[in-house]
Amino acid sequence: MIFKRYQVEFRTVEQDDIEQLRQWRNSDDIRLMMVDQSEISVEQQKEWFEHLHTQINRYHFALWFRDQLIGYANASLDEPYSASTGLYIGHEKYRGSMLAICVGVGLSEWCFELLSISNIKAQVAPHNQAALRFNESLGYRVVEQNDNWVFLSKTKNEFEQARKGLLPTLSRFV
Amino acid sequence: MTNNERLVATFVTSLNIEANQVVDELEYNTISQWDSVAHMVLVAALEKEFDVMLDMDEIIEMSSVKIAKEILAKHDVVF
Repeated sequence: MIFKRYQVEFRTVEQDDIEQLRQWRNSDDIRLMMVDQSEISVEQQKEWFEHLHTQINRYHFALWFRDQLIGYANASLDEPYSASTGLYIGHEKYRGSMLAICVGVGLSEWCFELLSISNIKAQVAPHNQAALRFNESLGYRVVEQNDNWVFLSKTKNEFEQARKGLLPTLSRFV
Repeated sequence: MTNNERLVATFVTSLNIEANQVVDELEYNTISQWDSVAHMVLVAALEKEFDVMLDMDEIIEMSSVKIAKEILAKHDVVF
């Protein structure tokens, strides 16, 4: 385990995880919200997994809750002082649940605490109102928008302000 | 106001939906208004309205109006 926040374990992605993650990633309700909406083949997933350890400044997490794999998250340092993050909850029982907020808050906390960054960015399709609401609840604000994408960003202070409002409920997950 | 009316009013305010939508069969994530963000608002509002404190399992399990009533009933709220 790399770290644990709000009862969700952020673990290293293991070989045994990748087929389940691929199937969740390829499901329409997750795939169609991705920047890359193509379906991932078994071979592509295997190749992705084999190159994980060679990636610098890119962190990949298998998300576990009560000893069950529930989803995936990542954080990338593509620009100086800035991270971008992504996540999905694939497990049917927990999809769209409070655990998504636990992961979102936990991942942002980890990024601001351990990476030398001043802001975190996200990118969401304009029609994905649920993701926009979700990100805004985590402190993101819209910085740019075009026909295809809404670009969001948050500073540590903006995140901490948003987290204050979430903590009364999140505290039940500590 | 009955407890059921209080529950309906809390759902209406928290999810920004019509009262006639608040039926036992209404399930989490089946309408756009009841997503993970709204769920947090709803949990906080139900706790305040009925003066209860839900635990993690109850928050996760509360996946329909019917189950919300069952969970609140465990906290001695009678419907």
